[in-house]
Amino acid sequence: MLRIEILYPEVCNLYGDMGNVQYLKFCYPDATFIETALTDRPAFADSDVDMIYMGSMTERIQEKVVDRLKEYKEQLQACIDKGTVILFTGNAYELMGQYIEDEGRRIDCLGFFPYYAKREMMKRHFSVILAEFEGMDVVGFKDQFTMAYDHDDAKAFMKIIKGEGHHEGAMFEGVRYNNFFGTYLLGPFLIMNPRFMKYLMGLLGTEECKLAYEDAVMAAYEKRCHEFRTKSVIK
Amino acid sequence: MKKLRFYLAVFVGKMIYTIEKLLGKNASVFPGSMAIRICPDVLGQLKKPELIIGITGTNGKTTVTNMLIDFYRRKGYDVINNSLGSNVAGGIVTAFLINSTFSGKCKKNIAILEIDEKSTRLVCPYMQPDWLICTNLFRDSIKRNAHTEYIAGILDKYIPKKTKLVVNADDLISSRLAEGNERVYFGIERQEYELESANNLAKDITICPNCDNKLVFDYARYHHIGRAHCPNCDFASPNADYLVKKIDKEADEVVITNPVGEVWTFTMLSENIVNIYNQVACVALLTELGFDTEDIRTHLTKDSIVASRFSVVEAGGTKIMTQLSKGKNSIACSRALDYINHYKAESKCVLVMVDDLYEEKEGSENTCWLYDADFEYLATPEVKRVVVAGARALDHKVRLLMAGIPEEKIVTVEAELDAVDKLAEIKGVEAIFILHEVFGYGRASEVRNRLKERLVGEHA
Ligand SMILES: [Zn+2]
Repeated sequence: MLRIEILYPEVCNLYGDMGNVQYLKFCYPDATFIETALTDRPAFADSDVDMIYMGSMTERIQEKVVDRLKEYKEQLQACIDKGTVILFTGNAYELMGQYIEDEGRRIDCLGFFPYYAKREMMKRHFSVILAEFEGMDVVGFKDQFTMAYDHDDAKAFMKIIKGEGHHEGAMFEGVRYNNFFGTYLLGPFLIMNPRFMKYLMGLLGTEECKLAYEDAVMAAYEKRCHEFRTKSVIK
Repeated sequence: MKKLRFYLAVFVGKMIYTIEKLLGKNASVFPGSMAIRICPDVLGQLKKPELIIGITGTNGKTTVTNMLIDFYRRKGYDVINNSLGSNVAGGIVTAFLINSTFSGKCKKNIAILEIDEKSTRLVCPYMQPDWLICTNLFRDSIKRNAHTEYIAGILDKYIPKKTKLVVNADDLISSRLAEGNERVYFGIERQEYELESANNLAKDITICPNCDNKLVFDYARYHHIGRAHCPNCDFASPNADYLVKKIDKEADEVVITNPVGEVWTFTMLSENIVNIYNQVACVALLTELGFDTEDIRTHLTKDSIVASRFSVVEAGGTKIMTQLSKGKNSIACSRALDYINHYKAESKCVLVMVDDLYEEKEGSENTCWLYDADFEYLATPEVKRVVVAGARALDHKVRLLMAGIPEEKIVTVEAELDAVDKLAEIKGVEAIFILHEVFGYGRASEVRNRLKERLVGEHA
């Protein structure tokens, strides 16, 4: 039976992120979901989990989360190495990089990947994204105070077709290494990307992937892909 | 030179206002923003009235502003206000400009201003409200407001030290704003039907700000509104100075206790709990300003709870209600859905038309907020059909399915007017609810009027 750990859902849920969790629950009604609170010891630290998910949080919470996760850095590294499926969306994914620069202050992150994020609280970056991952369209939205730099693009998650990648003008977005997926794309990422969801279910060992509400989810996805591709205001 | 710029700014601002008015334009932001362009501290240099009341917060600020303006007008005051204008810096400067002489003297004694939370940054350095009501703070549009800590951070930084606050004791976010400032709290006591935990998806404060432990709610009204304490330290909700003890829907009354324990009875201005918060916030402020209960009873009325936020018409035995559900504001949407859920009727239909047309035109609406809004409230046997209209209808359909609404009850249409047929198809429905966006009232009323014609025609 699958064990899926949700990190800090009480605080990592700013923009509909728990939609992903709800959708995972619909697709895997028999799986065990472990909700780990900020003051708890994560399940992955002591036992095998099949998947870890973490969503968006405030800047203050980012610092708390990174402090918590530093205590379990080795175990998290082991999860990445052995191919545990990990999905970090929104600014959760920043925590896997080197550091966050906040107006001269440096917040050290977990350092698994080479990138760093630069935060400007008076700037909000917004982008509509159409990207490609393993021949699939990936769609979503970014809305954030940060931009990320110094990526190893050999480990990028997706190639940008429309919208902004890591930073202005960047051709790639996010990180994919083994089964770790990190992306700035917000909120109900898995619901908005049913083809990626099927891919993810494949990684979790599901042979015949039947999605919850597949027809409706696919119809919304296809419409959005078509719009993002054809609408001239989306660049 | 400095003075000259100021006079020029006042002159140009007033001129633009006059011209825009002559052209039949709304003239709310542009005169003020032009004046700021010419003289950045124009607001600082304009003479202020004796009393300035500011109103901010995520939800309810427009209603509270209107209630207070209406109160003062009934008392015979002439009030500087932006109720027909805009709540950003330009709008507030416009409100002062048109009530000033060309030399910058103020023509009125009191200003009541709705202030956008983020605009306090540009407004408060130049204009210190004597009193500031903050109705509440919730998550709002991602694009504009990011999250509540961001908004609270701005308010903390820019609320002037001398400003006295009127804040919601049941909101652990806004009640802690500007912690050094003097304040009074308003609140509503736990009602019999209220549970220990709210089943809402979005909760903007869940952990103790001192020690990160999960807060324990003594009871939760909706989202993070309620009373909570930390199991690990002494952090807890503050006590309300002005407390609604009882909401008596039968008698149409609310019972409020004041800081010295006196018990007052007022006519309930609206059954909707968010408006009861708005009412007690006004009672708290007006009492602090020295008005007696008789004055408040007479002059604080329901007339100012405006129709564009809620309206009811009767059509051949069916009630059709339009409800504002600020687009992309998952909390306002959830409040509207909760209302539908609790509305007593055997059969209900709902039309959701809350697309953000502007964002859609500029690109594509970010629909993440749908997963913070409690569409689960519509998954009841009484709800016979949910029609979703607009470009994002297919996204809504997925959300509604995930909320447990059976597929056969969901209908999607691209064009909003096509919803009329789909709603009229279900016969003998007791109540039809139309949820619309801030700028969608006109379109919602058109759908409602056509639906009304149809239903009346069928009934005749
Ligand atoms: Zn505590």
